[in-house]
Amino acid sequence: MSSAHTHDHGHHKETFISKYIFSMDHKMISKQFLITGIFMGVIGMAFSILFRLQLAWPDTSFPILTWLFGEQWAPGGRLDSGFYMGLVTIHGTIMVFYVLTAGLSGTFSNLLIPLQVGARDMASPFMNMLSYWFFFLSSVVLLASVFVETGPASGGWTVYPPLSALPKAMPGSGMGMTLWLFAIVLFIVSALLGGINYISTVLNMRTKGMSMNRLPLTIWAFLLTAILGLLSFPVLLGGGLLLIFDRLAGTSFYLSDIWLNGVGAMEQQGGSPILFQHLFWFLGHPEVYIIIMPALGITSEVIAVNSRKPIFGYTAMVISLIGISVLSFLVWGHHMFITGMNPLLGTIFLIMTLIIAVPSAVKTFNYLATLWKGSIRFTNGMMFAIGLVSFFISGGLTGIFLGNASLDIQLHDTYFVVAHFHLVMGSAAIFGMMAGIYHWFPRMFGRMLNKTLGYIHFWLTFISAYLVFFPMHFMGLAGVPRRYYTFTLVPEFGVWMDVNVLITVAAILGGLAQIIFLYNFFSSIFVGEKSVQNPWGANTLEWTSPVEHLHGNWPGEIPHVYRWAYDYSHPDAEDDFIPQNVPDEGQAEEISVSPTPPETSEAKEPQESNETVLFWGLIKGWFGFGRA
Amino acid sequence: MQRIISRWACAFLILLGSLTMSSAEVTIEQSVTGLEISEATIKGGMDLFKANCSACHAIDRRMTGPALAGVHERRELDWLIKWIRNNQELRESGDADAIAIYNEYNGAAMNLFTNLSDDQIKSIIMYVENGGWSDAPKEAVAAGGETAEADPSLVKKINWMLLIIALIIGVIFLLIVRNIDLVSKYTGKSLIPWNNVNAALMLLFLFAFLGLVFYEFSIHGKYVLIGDSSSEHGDRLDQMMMITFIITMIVFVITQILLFWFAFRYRAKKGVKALFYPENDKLELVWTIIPAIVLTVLVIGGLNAWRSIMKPPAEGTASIEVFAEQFRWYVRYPGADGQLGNSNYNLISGDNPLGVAVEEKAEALITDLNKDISNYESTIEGLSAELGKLKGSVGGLVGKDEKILRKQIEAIESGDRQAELEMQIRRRKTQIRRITEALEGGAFFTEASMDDIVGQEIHVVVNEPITFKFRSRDVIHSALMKEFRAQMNVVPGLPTQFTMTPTKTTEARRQELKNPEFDYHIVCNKICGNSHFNMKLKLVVETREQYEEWMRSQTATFAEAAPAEETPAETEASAESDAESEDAADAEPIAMNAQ
Repeated sequence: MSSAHTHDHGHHKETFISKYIFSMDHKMISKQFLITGIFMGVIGMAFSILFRLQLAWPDTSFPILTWLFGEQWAPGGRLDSGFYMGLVTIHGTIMVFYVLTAGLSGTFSNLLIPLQVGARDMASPFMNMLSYWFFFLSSVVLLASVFVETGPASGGWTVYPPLSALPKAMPGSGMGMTLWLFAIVLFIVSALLGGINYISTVLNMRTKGMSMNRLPLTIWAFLLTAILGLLSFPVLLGGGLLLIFDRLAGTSFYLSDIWLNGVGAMEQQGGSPILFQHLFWFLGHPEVYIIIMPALGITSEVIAVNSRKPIFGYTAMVISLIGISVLSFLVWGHHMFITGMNPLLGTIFLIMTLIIAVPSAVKTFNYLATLWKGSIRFTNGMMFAIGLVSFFISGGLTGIFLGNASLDIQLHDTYFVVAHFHLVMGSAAIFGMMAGIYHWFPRMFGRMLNKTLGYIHFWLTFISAYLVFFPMHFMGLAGVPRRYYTFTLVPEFGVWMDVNVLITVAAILGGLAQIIFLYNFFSSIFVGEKSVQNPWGANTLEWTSPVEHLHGNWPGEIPHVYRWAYDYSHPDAEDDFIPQNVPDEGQAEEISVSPTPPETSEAKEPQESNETVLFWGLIKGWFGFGRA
Repeated sequence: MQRIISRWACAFLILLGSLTMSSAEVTIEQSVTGLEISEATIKGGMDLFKANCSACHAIDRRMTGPALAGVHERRELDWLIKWIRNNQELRESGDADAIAIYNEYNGAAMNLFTNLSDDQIKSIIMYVENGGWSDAPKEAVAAGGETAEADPSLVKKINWMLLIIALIIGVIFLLIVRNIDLVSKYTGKSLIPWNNVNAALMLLFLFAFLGLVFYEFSIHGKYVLIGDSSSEHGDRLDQMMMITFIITMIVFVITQILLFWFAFRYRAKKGVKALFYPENDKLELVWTIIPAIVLTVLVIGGLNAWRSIMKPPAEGTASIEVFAEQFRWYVRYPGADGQLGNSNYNLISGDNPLGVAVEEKAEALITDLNKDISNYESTIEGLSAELGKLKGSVGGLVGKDEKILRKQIEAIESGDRQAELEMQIRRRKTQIRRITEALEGGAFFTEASMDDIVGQEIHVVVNEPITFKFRSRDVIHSALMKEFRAQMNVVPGLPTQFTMTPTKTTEARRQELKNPEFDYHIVCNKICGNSHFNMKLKLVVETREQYEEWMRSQTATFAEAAPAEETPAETEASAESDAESEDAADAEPIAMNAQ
């Protein structure tokens, strides 16, 4: 990390530990989130390829599986059916929470919120650090759960009780499930600490002139994402805790009338398994918007910068983000149409779900309008952003089928659902994340990623993602259930065997493409071409901060903002971009007369070191070192 | 990753090689079971195997449970019978083999089959001895003959070669990329006009993408479940599906074309500046309102369909109970009186898998439970003796066996084992109390259950509405009947139901598909455990006459003395009293639940 050499700015001593490990600098924390997210992503994707091997070649022995998981879980080179489910479950959990929530939102909210709103750091750098370390701890617990004696949680990432509540219902509901729940509890703590921070930073710490209607769309997206998380994660926390009680303390929140093999009639009565589904999806649905909204925000920025055009319909984009956020709390029941929930509730959730398609459609059309008559530069980031729009269309449209309660009777839990969410929130959000990585890599590491490798990475990933997920629509429409270990149950499933092979081969191709990315990413950190300060000719404030990372972001005064973030190709300007801190004629004096204390930068600095002192003081206090 | 690639070679070579033939003849000359070897016994064993074992076991390969081939050589017959009937009891009695198997399969407990008689179990074993049975020998066997088992050393060589080739290609590839970059760097201009190349690729992708989408429609479109539903509401859903399909396809094609066309058309060109065009309120209003209108149409259609499908069944609709457990389905017919008797999970036992309210069975169950309790109590008393015995036998063991033994010792020493046994005693006592209270209350055990028929195959009458009442024993299952466009979750403690009218008999559907072996099935569609992928129930749709004939061949499950002579034709006659009795049936379990 040569971009982060010595810096002469700090007033307090920086050690290796305080700089790279327990760092409170938002830029370092964002790198920590990103690299942990990539690590988890590699595991999540590898798991998916391993269980796809089972689906494509169910009768073939793959010694690599035994080598990886041992005779216990892959006897004779074939996955155990319970462990297959375990891999599916951990794949889902890692991808949804660890990669696309923490890895995406954690990375870019941390990096961009202070830099784009013009703040020295997060509102509370200490909480920000805690947020990362809770996430790290949670990742460790989750990965540990794969290695316990009874195997990882295997009831699907939605962990519906009673299957997940009864340790004897399946091996995967044993210790692995308990660890899964603890990992999620830790994760939620991390998400809440981060979310509070993002919200307060955006609301309170914007620089002079950065009014809400001048905020870049990235920041709008991060802000609304954080609000969604703050309001919905506690519900899952509650739901998860009740499930832990049901498992460990003999309560019956979710259990009733059960006769379990190996146990007999159980005492629990009066609980409802459906209650958990309500609590889960009250988070679970906003969660998919927590995943996709930052990706959409990043796309808005990347598309505008690289089309050299203002984003079309800024106000409409903000309103539709707000609309999506509000509606996302009112649609969770569409995951539960056929659970035996009162059909009347189904009608309400049907209406709300199809309404949410309107703001999503507006966003898509606005992206198209932004491209129209632009001057498009196909940077790596731009290509991933275009890929996101394509996935968002393909996957979003199938949501209209699934949101329709009557069609969901037939499609619920089939491969159609798998295709839908892997396109609209899986692939789309991953592409948003990739767009962000390629676009802001120079800002994070002071070097450029290799462009040629980036193009190869994009095309291979884009093509393989469609090859993997598009055929699944047809399987789902033909009534093939998801989460099946092999397709031998009824003869009609047999025709999909060759499709399964195609999908697996495409998935392996996609996996290989990620190796190119990993090579590009990690080598460019050290040997990539040095970046200039504003490589993309972008307007937002992060590109006014020097390439070398500074604690406090700007060496002198924080730049003031005089315009919105999207003055690209303005007819009055010679350049095709006008950064936000460039005043119009006459505007500059106006603001400089205003009573801004020029010592803002100095004022902030001691405050931070205070907090550092406070933290170490606290630690010393706890362990009794401070008492003299 | 490359390691995985290199497995392909061996994958393709070995593929199909492992397909084994199941014979269609008696191939054994002697049997450990002592039964007379006959086609009938083996076939009977096959039926039992399919109904009870096949969700978790296959003969030639490991599934959720072990492969069964040769099991009669590995174990004693007596042991096998004990294990199959009640593996839990065998494990609790401290049988080392039983515990070892349990641990080998990571604590996935096998179901209990206390309902099977010795002879039935023996016939299953004979079926296994015979290596299975197949009425229709498959031609896939021929393929097995061609691909001889690949030479493992050859496979290994191929693997390494593939790995090396992949590495070389990767390195060459990186060198090319590196060279292009270097040349561009030194000449100061890009060697490849990337912007134009990518713009062209975007356009190419568009054509390829749309082309492939339509190609896939041409090959997989025929499997899509639209337009040939086998139920009344299914036709309506298909129509809804078609409308949604057409609308979304139009939007899909137009927007994807615009996206990639714009990307290509408006690629950066020298001297061309982008248009500064930040907003247009009218345009935005248009593309807010048009989707809103289209979606309103879809919402109204969807609402109407949903409400008509989900509305409560008309009075007098016949109903059957579909019962799910890990990993089996049962069906219960109301019998001659047209009323399903009460049922409760506390009454479930080996010979009453659905827990139907039958007084005799309930009383027998209480006796069994009391026996369980005294067994548990004596086990608790004997724990210290058992501990001593276990400790004495640690010495001679190594590896996994030792680990298992140590775990057992630890469970006793830490008191976990005793706590678990005490918990079981408490559970049994609660169960007995609940059953006794229900027995004393009297109203729960009615005549309605006496003529109920429990089976493992659904028969319904074509063109007559039928209500499926779903009940689950353990976890959430989901009954998916794809041909009927029907699905409903099966939730423990929460009765659910689905009413539909089948419109095609199995026979008619077979002719339509030109597939004489086609059958309707209910399959499980909510993850329910390790054998979730293997849980189905055959569903036969037939004419009234065929149905009645089939029904006549069935005997009421719980009426021992009096075989049901009445025909189900009376079902309809008694339908009027149905609503009333249903209320009573609904109310009773609650009374039983309210402890």
